[in-house]
Amino acid sequence: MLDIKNLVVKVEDKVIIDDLSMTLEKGKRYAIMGPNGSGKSTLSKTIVGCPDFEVVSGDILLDGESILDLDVDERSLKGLFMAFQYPVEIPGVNNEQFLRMIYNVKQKALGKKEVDPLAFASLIDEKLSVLHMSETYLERAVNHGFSGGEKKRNEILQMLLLDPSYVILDETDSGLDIDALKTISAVVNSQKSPDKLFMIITHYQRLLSYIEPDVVHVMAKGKLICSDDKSLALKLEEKGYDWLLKKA
Amino acid sequence: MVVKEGMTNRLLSFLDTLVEKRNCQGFSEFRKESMAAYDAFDQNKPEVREAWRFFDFSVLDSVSDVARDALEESCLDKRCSDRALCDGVLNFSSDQQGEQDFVACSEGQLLGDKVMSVGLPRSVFSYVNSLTFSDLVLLKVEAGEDKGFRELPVMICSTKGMVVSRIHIVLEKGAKATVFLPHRQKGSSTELFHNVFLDIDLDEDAELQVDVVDASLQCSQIETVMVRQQRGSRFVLNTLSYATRMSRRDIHVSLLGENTKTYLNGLAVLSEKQRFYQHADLDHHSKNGQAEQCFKTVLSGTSFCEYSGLVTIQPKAHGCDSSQENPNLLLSDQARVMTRPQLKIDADDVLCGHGSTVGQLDDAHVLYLQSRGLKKQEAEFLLLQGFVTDIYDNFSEDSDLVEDVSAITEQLLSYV
Repeated sequence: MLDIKNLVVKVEDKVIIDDLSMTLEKGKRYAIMGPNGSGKSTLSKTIVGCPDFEVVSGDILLDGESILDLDVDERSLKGLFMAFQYPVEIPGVNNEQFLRMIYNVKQKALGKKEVDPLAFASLIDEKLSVLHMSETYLERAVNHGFSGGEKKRNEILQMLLLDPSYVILDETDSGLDIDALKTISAVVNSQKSPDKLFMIITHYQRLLSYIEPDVVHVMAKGKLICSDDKSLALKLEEKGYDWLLKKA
Repeated sequence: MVVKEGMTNRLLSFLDTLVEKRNCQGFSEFRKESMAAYDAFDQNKPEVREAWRFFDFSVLDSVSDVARDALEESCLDKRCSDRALCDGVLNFSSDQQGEQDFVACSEGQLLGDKVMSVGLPRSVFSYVNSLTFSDLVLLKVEAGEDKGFRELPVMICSTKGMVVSRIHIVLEKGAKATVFLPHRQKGSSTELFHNVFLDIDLDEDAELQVDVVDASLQCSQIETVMVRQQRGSRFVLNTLSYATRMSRRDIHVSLLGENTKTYLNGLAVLSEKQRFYQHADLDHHSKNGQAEQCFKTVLSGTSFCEYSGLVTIQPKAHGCDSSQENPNLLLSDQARVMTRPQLKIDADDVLCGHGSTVGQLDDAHVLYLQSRGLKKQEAEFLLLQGFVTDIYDNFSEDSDLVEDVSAITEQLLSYV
């Protein structure tokens, strides 16, 4: 369970998340929607542990345990994963070596045996084929020179590899063509399990037509203003946010 | 490869006259003139070139005396080869002679050779190089040959802490060669001044790769590289500097013929008070020349790096494509970088690019890697490794970098 309790987050003295509370259960998929500037991405980055965001008060708990004092890497090893909206390009760092490194870090944290390059090659080949990615991705530097769609696929590849329990997809649909969207959605759908929860941040219903959420949360001005089932996303697509904002 | 006793042609005729006349006095005066030129090389004087404006001459204070002593000690009677053979790293054991094909030439043979150098007047240090000792290594690859030279002996002459290396590489038409020049001084606490002069002539369609490593902690080094490329030739220079007190490399490449290709890559990893100066002048004289430069630096402590690159496109050198790149990574508040990529274009229809970056490790990169489970130190180390490794990849497989890569890796690890 991911529990957000009365969270207040500031960036450079400006409150972005304002007394937000939200409970996300494993086995479910949550869509987080809201107009620009509503605090969606701030929320996701705060959960991950980005140091640019100051938690003024409140708490974030994973299965009842606060993670606020944990470093970014420690949160990751607790099973938290975010597919970034804008994955950074890291020239010089080979993608395959990077992927093997993060896989082995996870293995080590779980007390499992680390894999050698040969064993990893067969493991990663399988994941690549699921995402319709060629092996050439491995030879390149991490996200370096990747198209927007390639970067997003690389994020999902990492998700498959790390097999996290708490997945945040931060506008993963942006920059994706229809085929890529279908592929990635199919992979995300295949990961549905009672042990995992998904927080899907998006502006558009399109993604949610492929990855159906159990709950749709709408944020505005750093607060949670409305929650409902997937029909809410359709309504927002049709009417926009004004009616909700007025209501709030 | 031929080890020759002598000077480059500009000095040869003059010296020849002196030698023939047994004019010891004249030769001594000539040496004094060179010392005067060295002494006159003062950064405060207006005639000092722009290229030396930012050079920290205090670094050379200690070696100045060494250089002077070396010059004064050199006398006409023991003019070189015996000293080079006895005192220098170049050893002429019978085994090595057979294996490496060393040949010591007489002055007469030297004078008959068409070795030429247009580079000497460009720098007082190349001038002094030729005057201190008269030995040089001539590496000549004949037309159509393909040769690899590993661990080329670079310390030709040495005395009282001054090391003079002079290597003239000549590739005839269509010849290919790879040369590995490791400047490593191990286990010595003696302060050295290493004055290196590399003179390179590439005939049509010749291909040369020179890999250089500077790793002599007690060494202050000035290296001058003069390259002349004829039509269709290809020149690659890879440099790795990580453990010299002070190192300056001046590279002058004249792309004389059409369709020449030049690739200059370098990495300097600096710490403490190390100083590194990288100057690269590329002069495109003919059409369709291609050149790429990438010099990277990682700095910590109070180290300092200067990069000055000038690409000149002459009026008729249309169709040239020349780029300069100078990324610098600062790992301390006290480290400094001075970077000046410059272009001088006098032709139409050319493609030139230049850029430099000076910054620290990107927090967004560190965050990204940490979000995948890597500790902050692991993430930073991975980024540092990523910054430097592409330079290693340019080196020839035959150039043994194992100990250098290991030393640099250890150094990078100490930064995180």
